[in-house]
Amino acid sequence: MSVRKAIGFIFIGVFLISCNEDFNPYGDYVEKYAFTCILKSNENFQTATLFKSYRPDGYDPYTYTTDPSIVGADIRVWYNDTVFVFSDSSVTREDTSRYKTPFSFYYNNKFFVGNRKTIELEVLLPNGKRLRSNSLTPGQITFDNNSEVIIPPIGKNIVQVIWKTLDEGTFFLPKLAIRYEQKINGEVVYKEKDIPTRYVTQGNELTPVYPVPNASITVVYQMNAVIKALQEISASDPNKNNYAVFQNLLFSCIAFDQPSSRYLSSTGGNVDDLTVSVDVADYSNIEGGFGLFGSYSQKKYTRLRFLQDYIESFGYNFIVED
Amino acid sequence: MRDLIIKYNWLFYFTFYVWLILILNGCDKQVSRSPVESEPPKGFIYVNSVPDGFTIFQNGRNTGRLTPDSISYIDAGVYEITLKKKYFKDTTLVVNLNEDEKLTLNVDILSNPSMYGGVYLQTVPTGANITFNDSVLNKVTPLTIQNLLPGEYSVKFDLYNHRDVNIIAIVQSSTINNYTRTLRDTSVWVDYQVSTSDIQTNLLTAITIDNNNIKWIGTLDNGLIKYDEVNFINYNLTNSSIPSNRVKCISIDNQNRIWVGTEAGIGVFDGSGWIIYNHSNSGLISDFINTIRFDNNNNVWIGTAANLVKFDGFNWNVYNEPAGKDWINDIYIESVNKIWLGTKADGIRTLENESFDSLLIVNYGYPSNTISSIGADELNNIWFCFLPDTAGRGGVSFWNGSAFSNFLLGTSQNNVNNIFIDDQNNKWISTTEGLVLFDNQNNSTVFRTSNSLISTDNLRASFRDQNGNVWITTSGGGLNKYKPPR
Repeated sequence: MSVRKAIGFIFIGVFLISCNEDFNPYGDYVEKYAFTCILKSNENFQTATLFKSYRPDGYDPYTYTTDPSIVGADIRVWYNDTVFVFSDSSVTREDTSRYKTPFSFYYNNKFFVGNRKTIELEVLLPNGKRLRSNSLTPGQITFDNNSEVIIPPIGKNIVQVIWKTLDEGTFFLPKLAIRYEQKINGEVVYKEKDIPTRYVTQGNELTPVYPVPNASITVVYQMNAVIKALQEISASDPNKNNYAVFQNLLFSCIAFDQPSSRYLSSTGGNVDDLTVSVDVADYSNIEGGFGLFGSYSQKKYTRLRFLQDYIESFGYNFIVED
Repeated sequence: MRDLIIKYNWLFYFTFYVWLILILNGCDKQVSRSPVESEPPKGFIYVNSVPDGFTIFQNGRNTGRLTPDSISYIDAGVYEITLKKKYFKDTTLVVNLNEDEKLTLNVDILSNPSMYGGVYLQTVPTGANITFNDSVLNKVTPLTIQNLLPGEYSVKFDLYNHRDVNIIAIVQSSTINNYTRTLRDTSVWVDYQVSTSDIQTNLLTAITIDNNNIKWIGTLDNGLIKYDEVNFINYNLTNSSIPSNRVKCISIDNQNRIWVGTEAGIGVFDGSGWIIYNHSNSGLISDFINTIRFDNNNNVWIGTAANLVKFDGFNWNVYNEPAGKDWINDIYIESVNKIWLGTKADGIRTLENESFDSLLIVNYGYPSNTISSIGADELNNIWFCFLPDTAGRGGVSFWNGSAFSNFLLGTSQNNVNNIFIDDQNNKWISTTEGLVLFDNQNNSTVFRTSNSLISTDNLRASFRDQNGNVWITTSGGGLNKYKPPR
């Protein structure tokens, strides 16, 4: 073999071998964190969830079955010059098809938020990374005097409640419920029945439509939805005398703060218990990660009442209240 | 060989340079990369203090951490660490933390003399014993205690014949706090109010004392109270079968059972259970019971808002007077055959040998037609208390068998509510303008808030116990005990 041939083989060999490389579909993996906490005004049990991102072995994320929740983080909320520390806890997971371990969460049961207060958050992860956020709790809402006060309303077939707020862009979630008592085996049991705004026909069935968070400052309930809800209280029970409906209905309206409203706006108003998934980039106000730190306040409207004759026309007893 | 090297020299260098270029550039490619995330800082400050439990502030911000604790994963820099605790002076340290440094701060609060404080304890009158945090100091007021660690200390002042006073004294750094308390003299008067004792209410009505020297007290809003001079035990609608929380009268029968007249019937309490009498299970026409008395034949005489009733243990005998004269406020049993009735707005009446008679105000000139209470002294004079009404003013009178002698106590609006005559022939008269005492010679003394330590002038009833003390129920001022001079 000549020297010329030897040099030729070396040249070809280097050319063919030098750039041989396996193909990897992933980019560089960077662990990310998602934190969710919506502080409530109507109860002092505040909860938060904290997850990290994960990388499955294949292309199907559902093959990854290790619980991505992060335990042992130090979560603190500053409110009204006081620091509230969240403790971690867990509950039995209902759906164990993917994750087998209990569902982990954080809680603090010592405070509830008022209106227009600054709230600040700092999460110190076990690896030393920090997530931070802050927000302003929503302002007070007031109910308009043009809101309905009696059911059935006179000369109308709708029940409308209107409210006001000074905060622009606020999302609201109204809820109307019938309060009633039912005698079950001689014992009186208190119950509530939510009233949908209307029913829509899907196939051959009527499906209730309940309010979802939105920016409207009014909600309208069709009277036929109220009637159907009243009928569903006793359903097929022929003994209507077992039921007693309270004079006052329960109407409440939740007002979300700005971050929560923006999140709801970006997700199309689906509350979904306001749990933010890892890497959901639609909206986030968490510095150092993803997620949502916000609050909501709930206001009750207490002027909405049933008329006695109306309730008794369903065969129910009527409970008079002051 | 040399020729061969020279011949292929150019080829050798050409191949070498191609190879080198391939090695250096052959695998060069554009790679998309996520931004590199920096590692969290590793700085760490461990803060410890003696004593512990101080809130740690970092650069003026409350961290929510109490010593001993740490501030972890922080950047290098200068930090102002402040330790705060209620009543203590703040302690501030400025530390310079280097990159990834683990720094420990041990703060000995106790070594700082300015952290300590003190209290000045004084009483009026002076000389009270001091118990400090459950330790008897064997020292009396006034006293200054210094070099105390800031905090809250329980202090008790006790002085003979004065009510104990318990306070919480606060000690603050570099401060002497002054605690001066006036001790209430209990040598003559003792009051038992909600604010000063365990009594359940200040709105009291009737009182009587049983054979065991137990005080039974009626209330306007809380049923019956039993007081053995140690504990106040309350029997009300929520914990007993008493018919009502509004007690009008209390009497004790010869079996030491407590008869409680209420606005909803009678409850008879034997110490463990209750027997209830009302219009639905007895001969009572009205459940509004004003008075209960016993005669020597063990008959129970009951004055109600509707009529006079006699109960012999089996049968109920209702006495219906002429219309408008049936509201009986009090009864005095002079003998088996004669009882005296004090009515509301219809004056004094008698029931003698089953026949009613009236002693009309126009004939006898007593103060008013509304009688609140009746009693008899050792001379068999019968004493009547009067409330003001349309016929006249309030006052007290006694009947000597032929005429009334009137005493117009206080103002014309004075309600004379009750008379109790003790075994020394003293008449203790409860009015809304104080307690009036008529001694054996009928010399009067008036006890008011202006001249005594009685808790209020609005008095309801009184009773003298086996030790000679007089117990007075009040409307709004709780229970009072008066210790007469011996």
